Amino acid sequence: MQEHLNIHWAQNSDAVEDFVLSRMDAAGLQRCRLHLAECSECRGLVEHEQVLVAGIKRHGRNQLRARLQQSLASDERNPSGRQLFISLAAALIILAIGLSAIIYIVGSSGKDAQLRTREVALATNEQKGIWIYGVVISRKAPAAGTHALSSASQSKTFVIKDHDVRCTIILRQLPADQSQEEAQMNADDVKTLLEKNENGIVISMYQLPGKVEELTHATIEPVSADSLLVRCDGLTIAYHIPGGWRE
Amino acid sequence: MENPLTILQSDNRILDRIRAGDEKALTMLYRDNNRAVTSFILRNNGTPEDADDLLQEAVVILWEKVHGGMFEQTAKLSTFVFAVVKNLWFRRLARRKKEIPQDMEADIPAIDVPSPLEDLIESEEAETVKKTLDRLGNPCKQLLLLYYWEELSMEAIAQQMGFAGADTVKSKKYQCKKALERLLCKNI
Repeated sequence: MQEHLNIHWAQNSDAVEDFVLSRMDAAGLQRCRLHLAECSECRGLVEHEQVLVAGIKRHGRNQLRARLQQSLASDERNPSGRQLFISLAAALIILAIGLSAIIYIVGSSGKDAQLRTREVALATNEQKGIWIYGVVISRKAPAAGTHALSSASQSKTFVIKDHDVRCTIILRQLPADQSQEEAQMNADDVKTLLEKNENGIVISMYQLPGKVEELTHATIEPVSADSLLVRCDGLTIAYHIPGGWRE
Repeated sequence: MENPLTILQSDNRILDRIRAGDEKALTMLYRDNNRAVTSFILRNNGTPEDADDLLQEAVVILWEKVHGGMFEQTAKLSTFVFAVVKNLWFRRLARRKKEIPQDMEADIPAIDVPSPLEDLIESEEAETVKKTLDRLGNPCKQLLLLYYWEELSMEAIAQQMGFAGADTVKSKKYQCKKALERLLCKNI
């Protein structure tokens, strides 16, 4: 042990560096420490090296810290990809819900609006009803055997489910003088006389040849408070009922 | 409760990124530990600014240890970071001659035992050396930082700085160190 105390290893700059940077094994470190305890000159050299290395390390740390601070500040200004993704997804969900709501609202009222554009109060019929147009919104081939005309198939009465409202559909022929005039109009229009009375509503469809032939398989379906769909003979005819079909 | 395996995988990913020199890993580590460290410092006579400063210092120390090959993963990274924060705060409070809370040492395991060098880094002498290094300028500043702070090998420094080889770097490093010492003497 005494031998180590006499070796002034700190005069070797590489050895000092290895000691300060802890690049020695445990035994080497111990030997150096023993010598330093006895040699003030060597202690001074080591302390000088330690201050130099500490200053350089401090510089390195400060540089890295400055970059870290920049990165943290930048992240606050510009959210990360994950945060952006979450925000974007949330925005898209809100947008989708909003759009769905708009489509739902406009869809139902839009259908009404479409019907309204076709609604024409042509003339009152002795205060009993008004003339309106139904609009054919879909067209399928009629089921086989539905064209057999009978008197019973020219009128059908329904009770609209859950509302206890009676609705009678009557199929009528247009007067000859009006047929020619109506023939020039839109092929999707169904001229209709709408009447309301204490028994409910009566929809008299003045059909043109080739549009509606009979009502045996006819159905009626409420869409909204003032809209109805009548399905008959392969056609779906939409009606806007002024004032609503419940009143 | 967090799954230990998940934590380990997450820690390994961060360590791999640090080894690869990806500084974003430090940002992640900072964010992961920010709330807990702030809460700890506030409970122990500190301010949010103290917590911010200490946490930054702790993640930088982790970086330094990983790059210097001095880091051994014996616990979660958050435990290591917390231990460093605690040690730094303890020393800072001692310097400020403030009362050290009784429970401070009890709730955090002491992993990071500060070396004499670690103490010196926060000293005024080290600050003087740091400023003098700035005055020294490049390429000496860069070379000394690569060698002493990043602890790169002579060969790696030669490659990075475009020197002929390790011997050239060694000779250049000696000259730069002497130049730094001369500047320091002038300052003193």
